[in-house]
Amino acid sequence: MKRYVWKVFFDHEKEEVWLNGMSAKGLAFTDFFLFRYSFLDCEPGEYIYRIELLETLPDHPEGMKYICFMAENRVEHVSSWFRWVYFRKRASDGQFDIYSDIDSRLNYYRRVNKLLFPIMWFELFVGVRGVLYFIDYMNGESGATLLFNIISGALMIYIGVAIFGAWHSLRKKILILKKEKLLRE
Amino acid sequence: MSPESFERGALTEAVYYILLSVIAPMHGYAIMQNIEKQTAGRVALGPGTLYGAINALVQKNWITAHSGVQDSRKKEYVITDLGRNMLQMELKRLKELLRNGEAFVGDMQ
Repeated sequence: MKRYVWKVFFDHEKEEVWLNGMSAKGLAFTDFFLFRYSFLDCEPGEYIYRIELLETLPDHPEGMKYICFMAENRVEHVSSWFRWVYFRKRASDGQFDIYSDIDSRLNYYRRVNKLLFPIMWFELFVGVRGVLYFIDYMNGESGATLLFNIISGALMIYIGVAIFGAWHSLRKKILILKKEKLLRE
Repeated sequence: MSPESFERGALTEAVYYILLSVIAPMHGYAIMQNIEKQTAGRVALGPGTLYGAINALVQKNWITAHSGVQDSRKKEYVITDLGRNMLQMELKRLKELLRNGEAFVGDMQ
């Protein structure tokens, strides 16, 4: 039976944990569209899910080549959202980590943070600007405009802070891996 | 680091085992399985790591796409002469590491 869950994530690692938690409960993720996650029944823990930010869009020749390579390695492409791609593998095929050494993990975390960094600052900048506009012009503007400014500004600050959390978490991992790289591969 | 000393650096474990695996033509999934078997499960290469390493090795011409099996949908790779040289150099370096380690520490058993 198909089931839908509407949920918003700003941190793909938390999203991945949630999808694997759903799989453990017997709900296999099958599609994502505009914060709507589709699930089908499965054996509890049948699939392991991983989310990856590709270097290109999935329908770009390079992205398609990569997805084809994953398929050759028994990794199924489940769904995509811009450059974000959802993969899964049967748990019976063994452990499933897309990146297994320090160098490739470092490169990947840097790729994600390179995307998050400008979005985070854009959200925070526009959000704070909206709130400041509300404070400065509280007496001179119509109520509706002011309400829009404060709500949209607060929302953007909230999103910016949430993205900062994800960026900061990856930044910490990058620093740990860089230290580790001084000692081992 | 000068290019010369960089070229003399250690291969990553992934690259070392990929080169060993493709002495006979092998496709991606078989490479992963072979490495896991050779290391008794200690080294489990992620597909993203393998993909990046294969692309880098093809670019450096240490391995090449094998054209022997035309009807296979899975792309196979095989080591080149340059790759064999790199593998020989790495083996020499590993032997030196082992020799020096044993001379200083003795048998760890």
